Amino acid sequence: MSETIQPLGRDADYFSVLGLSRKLDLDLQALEPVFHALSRRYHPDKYRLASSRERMIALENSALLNQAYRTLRDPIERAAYLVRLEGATSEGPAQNAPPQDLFEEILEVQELLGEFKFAGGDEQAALRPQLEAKRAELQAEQDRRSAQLAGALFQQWDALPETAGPEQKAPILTAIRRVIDERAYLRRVLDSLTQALG
Amino acid sequence: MSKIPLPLAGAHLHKEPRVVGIDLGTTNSLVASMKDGQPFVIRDAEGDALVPSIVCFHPDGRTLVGKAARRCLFEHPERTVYSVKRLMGRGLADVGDERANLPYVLSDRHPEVIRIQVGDRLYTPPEVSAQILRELKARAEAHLGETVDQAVITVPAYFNDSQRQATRDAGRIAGLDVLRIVNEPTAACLAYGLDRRREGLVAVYDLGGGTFDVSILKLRDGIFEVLSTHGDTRLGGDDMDRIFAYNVILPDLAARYPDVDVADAELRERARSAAEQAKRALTESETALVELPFPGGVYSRTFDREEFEHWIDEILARTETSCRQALADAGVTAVEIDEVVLVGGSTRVPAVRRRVAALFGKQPHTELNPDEVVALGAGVQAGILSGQVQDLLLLDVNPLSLGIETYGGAVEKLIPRNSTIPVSARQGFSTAVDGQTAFDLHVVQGERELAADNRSLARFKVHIPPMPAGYPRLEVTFMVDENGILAVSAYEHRSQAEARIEVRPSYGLTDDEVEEMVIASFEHAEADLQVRQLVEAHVEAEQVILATQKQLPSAEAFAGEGALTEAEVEQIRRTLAALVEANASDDARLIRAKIEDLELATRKLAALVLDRAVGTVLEGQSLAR
Repeated sequence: MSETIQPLGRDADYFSVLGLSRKLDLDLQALEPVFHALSRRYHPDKYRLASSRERMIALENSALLNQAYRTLRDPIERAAYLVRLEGATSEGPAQNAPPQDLFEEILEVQELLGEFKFAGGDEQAALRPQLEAKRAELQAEQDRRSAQLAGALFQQWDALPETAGPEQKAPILTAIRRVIDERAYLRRVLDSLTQALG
Repeated sequence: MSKIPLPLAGAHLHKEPRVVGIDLGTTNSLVASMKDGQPFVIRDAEGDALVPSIVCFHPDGRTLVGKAARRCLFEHPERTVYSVKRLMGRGLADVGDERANLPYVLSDRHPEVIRIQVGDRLYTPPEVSAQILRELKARAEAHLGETVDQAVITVPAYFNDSQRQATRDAGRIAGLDVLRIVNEPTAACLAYGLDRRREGLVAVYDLGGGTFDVSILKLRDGIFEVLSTHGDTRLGGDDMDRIFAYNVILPDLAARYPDVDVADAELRERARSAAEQAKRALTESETALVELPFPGGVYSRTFDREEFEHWIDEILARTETSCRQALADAGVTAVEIDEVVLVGGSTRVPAVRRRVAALFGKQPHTELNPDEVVALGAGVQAGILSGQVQDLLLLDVNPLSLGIETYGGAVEKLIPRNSTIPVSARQGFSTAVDGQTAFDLHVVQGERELAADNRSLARFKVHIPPMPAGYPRLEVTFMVDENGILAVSAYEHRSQAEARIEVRPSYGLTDDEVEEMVIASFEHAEADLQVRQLVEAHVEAEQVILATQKQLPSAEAFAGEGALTEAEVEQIRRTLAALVEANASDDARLIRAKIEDLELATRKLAALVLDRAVGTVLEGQSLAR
């Protein structure tokens, strides 16, 4: 007879749910068996004949576990979550602005896209190679940012000692947040390109 | 009190809860259970596992299900409902032009939940499905020798919330506590992966009578984790039959015999049935003959496999698109798939197998009977729930994104598709008007940007105490449980209270309506049973009366020889007359009693007749020799 299930708590943080410390570099191979083991412990299917209170706890725990796993599995989501968790989310216009170094580039793309949408078949064919090239460039910028995140920034964060205070954490978190916001902006531009070009 | 419990022979100290697994299919349904850690499908007296998903509301008052209902397809097409699964969780608008192809009538009065009109009664799809479930329940009980009131029921993975709820409602109406709704491809994978402890990536291609699903799963350590699922709940073998029957056979018949009324319901049903048979024949052979009698003649033509494959190509192309989407969503390429499993009777079609093999670059597995594998998987899941199976676990996903309608008719996506379930999302709301006491939410399912282009799930009215505008802090939780069904709860922080929520399903029955149907179905079940018993008693009485009347001359002859006494012959006549009289009544018990009396009276006569017959045979043999 298994011990009674305990609620994880609605606002338990994803790292602790999965038994992880708040580090950004994550060994996904090692994480999967942890997720599986916790799934076995919390899944409602294992509590079908238990009391309704236990069933409710199982349901909530499972939902939280699944959310935690999905979020932490993806490096970008993981970083964004950490930033929120550490309280470093300032709602500001900066979130929706294009990356500074790509400002001109993106303006160009948006103009070209505008032309493309209203152009006839021949003109579209003429514009296409340009747009494809832009798409490739922006995708490369996107990949660079991902690498930067996963590389230098993650390592910087992970290198911080346990006792690190807000003054040490803040600059790294801000840098991470900025890269994430830029990625989000770029993704929207890339999505428009894909919609138009197919 | 003795310290050591004395077990009674055959009794159990703990009664293990009996949970069965049910595949409620478009064309056929099955019920399975577990024995010694292995699932098995429960068969009828003739050894058949499949129960055709056909329900006939016979004019004589009986409700027939399964094989018994098949003849009704031709004799009473307007009273016979087949493929009701295609109507579950749907409104009238969804059926659209399919309606013309249905021999049974749909009522116009209730557009949000389909109602099938038979005579002067209306039946909702869950009520019809409940008849099938009741039949399966009875079959399980007969075989297992105990009451069965808990079940796992499978649904297509791509079924939306309304369709899942409708399935659960059907279970309730049939007197079953539906412990779990399981996705069909996942169930099939469970059956398939059970004994061989496979690890790796599996694609399940499930083409049934009315629905298509494809699921990509990762198997590891006894965990069956669905990575993605895609499909079409209006695509299946039925469509192949329809194209064949209505787009090929009937037009051809009309061209050859212009005077024939091809809109006739019975003819259309025969055409559909002939098409289905031809489709099956073309699985084994290159050609198939279609013979379709009509008033005044017979249509006869041979079709070959190539033409058939050409007509169904579009259906296969649609399944392939779904497969590609599922692979993309799973972040996996076709070559990375280790094994492919085929599920559903329609996967027997050679063109389907070739297409799947080509897409995944490997031969699909077909060892398990594609008709039974889902039921077997449901049986295993039943085992998991009842604790008989300890080491396996299914982690499934929701097939459709969940969102709420926002100003301007846009959708705010709360839960993306292919999220592992259970999954929840929380959203904060406040009011725009002073004293506002209700807050409306419209939940939709689907991937489109506009709410109107998605599937409306339900409208929720959240009740809160009156407060100044913008003051309430309403936290709404959207929880999709392990069944893939949504539950909404709300907590208002200022008043620190759970908010009351009224639910209006867009394509479903309210709880009250289902309650009424549960009660009604038990009342009807009793009445139905009585009607059936009476009809069966009549049928048997007539057979016995006829047989006895035929044997009366023999009885006379035997009496003449002295093999029977006059009194015995008189007894036969008397009990025969008594039965004829009883048969004119409505008392099934009386009729049965009189049948027994007559059988007792004719026992000696029957033995004499048999002896004589055997003797004749032996005589004949010795003469021959």
